[in-house]
Parts: sequence; structure tokens; C-alpha cells
Amino acid sequence: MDHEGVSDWECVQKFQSGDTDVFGVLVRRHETRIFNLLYRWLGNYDEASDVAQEVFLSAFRAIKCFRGDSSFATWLYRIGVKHAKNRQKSLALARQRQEAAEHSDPADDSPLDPAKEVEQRELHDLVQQGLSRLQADDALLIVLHDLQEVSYEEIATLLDVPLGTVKPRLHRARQALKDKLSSHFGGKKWQ
Amino acid sequence: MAVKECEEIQAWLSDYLEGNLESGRHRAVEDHLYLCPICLAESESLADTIKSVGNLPSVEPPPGFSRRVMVQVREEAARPGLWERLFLPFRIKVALQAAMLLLVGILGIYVYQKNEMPQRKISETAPVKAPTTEGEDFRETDLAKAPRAAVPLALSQERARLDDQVASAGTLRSQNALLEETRQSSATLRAEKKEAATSLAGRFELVLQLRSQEEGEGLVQERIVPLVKSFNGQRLQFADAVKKQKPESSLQPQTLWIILPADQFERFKSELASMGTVKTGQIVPAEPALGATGPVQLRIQLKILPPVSRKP
Repeated sequence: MDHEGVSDWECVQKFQSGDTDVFGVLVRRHETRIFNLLYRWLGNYDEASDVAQEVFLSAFRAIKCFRGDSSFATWLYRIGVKHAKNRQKSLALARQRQEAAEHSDPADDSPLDPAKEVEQRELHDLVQQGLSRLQADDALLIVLHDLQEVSYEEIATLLDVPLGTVKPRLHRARQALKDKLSSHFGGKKWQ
Repeated sequence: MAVKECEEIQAWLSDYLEGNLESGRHRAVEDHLYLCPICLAESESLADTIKSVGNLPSVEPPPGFSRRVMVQVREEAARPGLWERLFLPFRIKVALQAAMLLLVGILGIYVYQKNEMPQRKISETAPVKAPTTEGEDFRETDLAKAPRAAVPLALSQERARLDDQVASAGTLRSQNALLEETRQSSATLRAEKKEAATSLAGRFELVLQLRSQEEGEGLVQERIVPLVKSFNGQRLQFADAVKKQKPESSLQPQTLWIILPADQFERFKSELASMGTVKTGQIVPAEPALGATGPVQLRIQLKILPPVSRKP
């Protein structure tokens, strides 16, 4: 059955009415965003894959209770953040984040001319390394807002923080990342 | 440019770059950046940082990710929940649980009966072998093979038989005396078990029913004890038994404990027969003393009963 024009909320209602297969539509619709959030935040492809599966399974178990108070994506993000935070608690993962940051981006295969391609790949690696070396909460804010374009309101909702604190925290996180990347950006500007 | 003004402008840079400032403040930041190269560099650097994050390429999940998720989801959907596993469908569960309950009950009864049965079997099929008066050899191995569970049963049988004998003797006093002696003999047995580590084959009982009252006068000291000694045996006397020793009289039943070589048993019994009627009682097997290598000894409880008073 084609569900292209069906909203997330309608899919959820169909699921709650007994159509289990419609959950597959929701998975396909959100897998990339959830996976990218986890990958950029955790900095490890395999970890991101495992956690993403856990996120969707958790969502499947809890979807009967979803009442549409927030968007389905925000609700899914919230589950993703919870799982990723749990995963991050292990010290091993912190090390993996660091190590993973040293490796090149698996998705960075843009067909540019070789010199520019190398330069961009280096930049992406640098940014990923910078994110991996930030405080976990700072990295999460940047990934959510600057990469995933999640609004301040949604961030406040899914992180359970006052809306007024989101902007200053994000600004501090950006400055921290800018400092990590200063060798690449700052140096050029100041010369 | 004042440092305080620069700090204030730099705090607004994120909002400025995202276009979130109201127009007056937006223009103030723009004017400042036009005049201040440090804040301008800071702004450009921050903009590059934000842009570089936004330009990170989208990473595709592993191939078949959604299919794998859905396989897990369907498995989980097909798995019944705890509530369903325990109680649903109700009609099947009730029948199943009733059947299980019945099965457990039957099993319980079976186990109970199975535990009861060996004791019954012991009493029915494994009587303790006693030497007969004629022609049957006593063997230590026979006693060793007898189940130990037979001991309490044999004691109770012995007690019942003694009661019968006391009744035949006819006096309540005799009965009390005999019961008291039975208790003593139990204590004696316990003490004996601790002290005697020889190769004792077991305990059995001889009952000597005196023919006449005259036979009883000084019987133990003058006739029985010398007889025992003549067969290389000895009379056992224990502290608690000695204290309660009653004066020897043919009017009251008496009990002696004797250790006697097994091969002298039949001859000893023949000698006793000259004093009265001799009956052989139940043998109680002893726990074999490990490593004991001495000659086989018998512990004999010799009960001397007064002559039966015959009523006209």
C-alpha cells in the first residue's frame, strides 16, 4: 500500500488501529535523520547503527502510547537522544568516539575534482573530530540545530530544558567548536 | 573599539548570523562589524563553523537497515506479552493449568507412596534372621546385610513381645519392673554402642522361664555367671544399670547382659535349658565395627522370668 501522502500522525493512528506494517513507512521515512543524528553525535558508524535499531524498536514498543502532543520526529529524536546518552555512558564508547574521529567520513564521496575533494574530505573529518571532542551536550545541540535543523522549541521539548536556555547554550557550543576548528578557519582570517 | 562593546556584539553573533535579531539590534551589529576587524573575523569564523556543520554530508544507514528493523519488529509483534503468555486464551489456559495441578497432585501422591513403601517392605520382606534352637548357624554377614531401618521396628516388636510375656506373668508390678528394665536396656545399648568397638555380631535375646521358684534362689550369681564364664563369656554391668540393680529374687523378672563367643551360643543355650524353658528372641543386628578383626561375639540379653503361676 502506498503511504507517500500519509502524514506521520496518520501512520501512527493506523498502527494504533492494528496495522503493524505501517510502522515500516515510519522507519523508512525517519531512518536517515535518526541515523545521522546518532552517527554525528556518537562519531561511530557501527554504534550509530546499533543504537538506531534500538531507537526504532523502542518506538515500536511505545507507539501505542504516542498521543501526538509533539511531532512524531521530535518524539523519535527524544528516544534517540535517550538511547545515545545511555550508550555514551560507557567509557569505551568515549574512546571509540575519539578513534572514529580520526577516520574519514564514510559518506563523503562527492564527485568533485580531486584537489577540492581532498580538501572537503579533510574539512568534514576536521568538523567530525571537533564535534567528537566537544562536551556531549554541546555536540548534541549543534548536530540537532545546525545539521538536523531542529527548531529551538523542539530542542527545548526533547531535551526538557527551558526555551530561553537553548540559544545561549548553542552559542557557547558553537564558539567551542569554532575554537577547535581555529587552525582551519581562524588562522586564515587572522592573517 | 571598547572591549565591553565587542563582548556584547560577539554574544549576539549567533542570532545575527541566523537573522534572529530585531532590526535595530541587527543594524547595530552590522555597524560594529564594519568598524571592528576583530569582531568581523570572529563573525566570519563562527559563520564558517556553522556552515561547515550544515555541510556535513548525509550518511546513509547500512543497507537493509529498515528491513532488519522490521524483521525485529514483526518478531516482537508475534511474541505474546507476559499477560497473554500467562492467561490468554483463557479457556485453554484454565484447562492447561487444571491439568498441571492434577498432574502435580498425582505426582505428590506417587512420591509419598514411594517413600512409604520401602519401610513397609522392610517389615514385610526382610525379617531379621535369628538363630534357631537347632541346626542353624549364625553368620555375621547375615546381620550385616539386614537393613538398618529394621532396628526401630525390631525394638518395637521386642517391646510388644515383652508386654505379652509380662501379661502372662500376671502381675502389674512385674510389668512395671520389666518396662523399667527395657528402658535400662535401651540406655545400655546406646552406651554399649559407643564403648564396644569389638566385632560384635549383634544382639539377641534369650528368655529363660524358670521351672520352679527354687530354681531362682541365687540363680544369677551362683549359676548363670559361672556358666557364662565357663563359655569364655562375660557379664556386662553398666553404671546406670548397677545403680538400679534390684535384689535378685525368683519372684521378679531379671535381665542380664552377656557377651558370649558366637560358637558357644548353642551349648550355652542347652545348659540354660536345664534350669527352665528357653526361648530365643529377636536378633537385632549391630552396626559392624569397621576394621574389627577379633572373634565374633554375641551380645545376649538374658531375661529370667519367674515360674508361671497357674490359676486353678
